[in-house]
This record gives sequence, structure tokens and C-alpha cells, in this order.
Amino acid sequence: MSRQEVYSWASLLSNLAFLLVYIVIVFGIPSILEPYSGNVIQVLVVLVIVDLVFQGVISIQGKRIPMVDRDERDDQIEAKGFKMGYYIFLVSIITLIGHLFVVNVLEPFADADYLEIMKQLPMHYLVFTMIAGSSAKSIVQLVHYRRGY
Amino acid sequence: MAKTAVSNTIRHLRFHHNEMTQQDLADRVGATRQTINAIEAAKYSPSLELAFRIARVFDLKVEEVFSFQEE
Repeated sequence: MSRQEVYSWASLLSNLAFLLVYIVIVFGIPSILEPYSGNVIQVLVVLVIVDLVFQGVISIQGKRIPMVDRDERDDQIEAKGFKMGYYIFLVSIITLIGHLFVVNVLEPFADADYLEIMKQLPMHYLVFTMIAGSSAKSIVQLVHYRRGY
Repeated sequence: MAKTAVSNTIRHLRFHHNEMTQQDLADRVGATRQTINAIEAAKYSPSLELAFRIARVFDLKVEEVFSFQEE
């Protein structure tokens, strides 16, 4: 496994950890996990710390070993990952513009609670888009590293 | 993954150059071992610059290391 592939795995795991933390903050802990709520938060905190330590170790180790860790193939694979991330961002932005347009059109007819939810939605949507785009980039890179490129 | 149209004799050449390892060749041309492995397996077509670097390691011309088979 090349170092860039390890970075991709680390990036994907970071995104998933961030997504879990975000879901728990926004929606709260699922009812099925409420008896373990203390443990869930501890696990998430540990997960984030482990991820940060893992990325730090990879980074320090990378500087200590004098070898080529990135070349033209890694750049090309990364470009494919960025391309997929870009498509996801593009589709998300277009749907978000559509959503804002619909909210503006419905504003005179909709009730206040519904409008309040609709106005908060874009922020969560953008956060999910950021995580989805970044995760998609890592997944595309890992697919190319595993399949061979 | 489908093979590229560019084939090569790198594995053979490495063997005849003191059984040079993929890592040795990678270090000499400034690439990763995984890239050399992908090139040898014809899963990745190197850039012209990398192809020249590889050929230079074996003191050969590019066309003596790489060949293009049009479908």
C-alpha cells in the first residue's frame, strides 16, 4: 500500500468520523443508543483523537523516510478524485439554488414553522455536501489504487 | 483493469541489470514502487518524461523499452 493510499484511507476515515460527530450534534443520539449515550460521545471523541494521532504519525513518518512518496500517477489519481468531488459539489449547488428558489416562491403561502426548517436546511445540506464531496474523492482514489491505474 | 496499449520490457531489463528491484528503479527515476509495478503490468502508461528516465537507467532508447500496439 503506497503512502498516498494510506492518506486516502485516513482522509475517508476522518470524513466518516466528522460525519458521525456532526449527526450526533445536529440530530442527537439515536434512541436505541441512549442508554449508552455517555459511551457514544466517548467513542466519538476517542475516534477523532485516534484519527488525528494516526494522521500525525503518518505525516512524521513520511518526513523521516527519504523516499519518493508521490509521483505523476498519484497526481492523476487525485485529479480523478477531484473530478468526482467537483461533480458532487456542482449537483449540490444546483439543487441548493433550486431549493432556495422554491422556498422564496412558497414563502407567502407556507406556515412559519415549515419556513424556519426550510431556511435552516441549506446549512446542513452544505455540510453534508462538503463531507460527501471529500469522501467521494477519497473513495475514487482508493478504487483506482486498488484496481490499478 | 484493462491493459494499456503501451507495453514494455522493464521486468526483463531489471532482471538483466543485477536483478534490480522495483524500489531501486523507482528511486532512480523519482517514482513510487507502485507506479513501476503498474507500468510493468501495463496498467499505467507513463508520461514521456518518466519513460525517458526509465530508458536512461538501462542506457536504452525509449522505443527499445516501450512499444505501442495499436488496436
